[in-house]
Amino acid sequence: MRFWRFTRSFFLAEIREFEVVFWSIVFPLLLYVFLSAVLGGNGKAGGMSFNLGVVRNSTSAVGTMAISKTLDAVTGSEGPFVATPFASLEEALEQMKSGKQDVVAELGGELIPSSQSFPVRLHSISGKESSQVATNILELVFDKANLEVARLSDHGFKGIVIDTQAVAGSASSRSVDYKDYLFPSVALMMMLSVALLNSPLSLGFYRSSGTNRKIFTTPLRPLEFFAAHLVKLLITMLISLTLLYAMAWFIYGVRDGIFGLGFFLTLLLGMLSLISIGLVIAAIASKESSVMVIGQICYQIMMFMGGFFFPVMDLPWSVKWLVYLVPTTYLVELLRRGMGIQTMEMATIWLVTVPLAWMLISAGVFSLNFRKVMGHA
Amino acid sequence: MPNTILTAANLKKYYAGTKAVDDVSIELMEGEILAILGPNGAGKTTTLEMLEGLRQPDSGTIGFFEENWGPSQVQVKERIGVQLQSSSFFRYLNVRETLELFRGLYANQVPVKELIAVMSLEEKEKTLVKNLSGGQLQRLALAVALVNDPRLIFLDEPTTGLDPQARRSHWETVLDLRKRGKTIILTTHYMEEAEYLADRIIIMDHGKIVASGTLDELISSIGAQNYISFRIPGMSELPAQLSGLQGIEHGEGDGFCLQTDDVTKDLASLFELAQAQDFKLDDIRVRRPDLDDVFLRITGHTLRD
Repeated sequence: MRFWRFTRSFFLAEIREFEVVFWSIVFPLLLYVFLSAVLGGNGKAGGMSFNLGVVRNSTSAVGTMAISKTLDAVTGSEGPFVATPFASLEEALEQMKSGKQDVVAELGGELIPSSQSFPVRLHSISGKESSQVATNILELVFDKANLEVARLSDHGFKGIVIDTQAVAGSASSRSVDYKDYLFPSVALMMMLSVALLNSPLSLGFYRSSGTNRKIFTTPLRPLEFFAAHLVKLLITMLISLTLLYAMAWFIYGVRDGIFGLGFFLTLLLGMLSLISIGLVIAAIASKESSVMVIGQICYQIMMFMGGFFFPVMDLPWSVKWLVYLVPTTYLVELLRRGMGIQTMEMATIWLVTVPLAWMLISAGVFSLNFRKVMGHA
Repeated sequence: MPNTILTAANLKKYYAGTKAVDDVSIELMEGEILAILGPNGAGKTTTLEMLEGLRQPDSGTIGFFEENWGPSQVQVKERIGVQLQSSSFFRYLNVRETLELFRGLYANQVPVKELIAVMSLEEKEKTLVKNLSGGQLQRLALAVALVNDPRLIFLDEPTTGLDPQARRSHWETVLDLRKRGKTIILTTHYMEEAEYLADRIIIMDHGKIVASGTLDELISSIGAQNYISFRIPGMSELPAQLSGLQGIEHGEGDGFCLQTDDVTKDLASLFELAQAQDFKLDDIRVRRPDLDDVFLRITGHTLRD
């Protein structure tokens, strides 16, 4: 009872601070709105392009030139498609199901036997927004090409016949909307702010101002004080995440996977591992100004090198080692996989192990410095 | 015969090889106010923090209420109240919430309304701690030290930084606490505070206790009953004609001081000499020796040095 009463007051004292509310809750939400508005308009993560898998079935000369010209036009430097040739349809479809291709164009073959038309079958993923958009664009492009063919009347060639076929996608091939892509990033940003900035700063402030010492003249034990601090952090994180969920659900329609058990467990792993790292910052920095500097550096590195806003696996090795070092890389990928989005090739076990290792090592370092951090001689 | 409420024996504390507290022993009787007086860096706060349980002595023992200070800390903490030298509370809690918070940490709880009334904080009940003045903060700090109705209260430099009016008001509150049966141990570097409040005084310098006793005992220990201080305008050295007076000393500038056991006789002698030698005496004062004189006599420097 004593503990909960103290925790309640402790939390109240902190949540009334403008800085805490702004950086832990308001700022990440604003960033979510801002980035979604700026980068989320095309419904596609990473820019205005679609991946087009191309499978050529026959060597039929009829219409080949028209098809080639059309594909060149849409896959050139100005075109919205990035074409990847595949030897077999099965391979192309597999890639599409895993989310690496948005649409597969199967060109030629015996689709329409004994015809002077060139057959094209467009394979899309059912329910995947980017796949549908890409298919629609290609249909329009080929229709336009047919008008041109009709005008030139190329040796009896009657035109391109388009056939579309939707296939069911796997979990990882679902529509990658930037708002979905951002959701785990913003969730982790909120946690980072609380864990790496608020937590060590408040511990440092209470230590330097003597609030801890006053508390320790009462029957409350240092361990209880620390536990109250942890609970306070978790409550702050839960409030900010609840607001994020509400915004994502009601405004952006983010639905997939965010209420799954795995997703929640990953959030919990994120909270605990990031809080542990924040406690190490509190242990190594004796002044509030040092806490601020170290906390900010860690925050920025974990945010940008963690792949929160853009893909990081193509970065040069001079900075890529940071990508592999920071726990947020693994946490954000784990959260995205929970939503059916996969952005990097890595076994799930590693995505769990690395943050867990960070958590255990940090907790160990902190426990060795517990008395120092608490300001208790 | 009052009970002994606290016994500290041979306390020592080192910081980076320097002795902060050197063989300090204290015995505190129930119902008294004990002041630890000394200049900054004398070891007062370190001594008090060891007694409060905030610092572990390097050697020595502390006993409270017939219990050892250590394994049963919680039981002891339930019965003491502490006002630290610089108490910092949660800035975004108001006065009432702060008192509620600390009160909730103890088994024995004084009603918040009563604490607010005792410390005259009614008008500031809803004010956030960050918006309180220095005097109001000190009153809150003292109120927080009383939330558990403690038998023993520690006050570490309770009036440092307060204006004279607020300091006087704080003194009255402390005296009122003694009337209510509380035992109080305080540190201060204001000799007036120790003189006004304390039943007994311990004087510390360089980590050691250099004198202790009641005010009268300390003053009588230096042998002087009174001082006659005066100025001889334009005279910066003790005139040879006055050097025959026993106990005369040269002060600052043209000031002189005559230590005396018989004010009437020595004052008459001084006037006679001045008239005979044609000295002009100015700013003549007779005063009792104070703690500064005691401190000066024992340590060779004043409390303010």
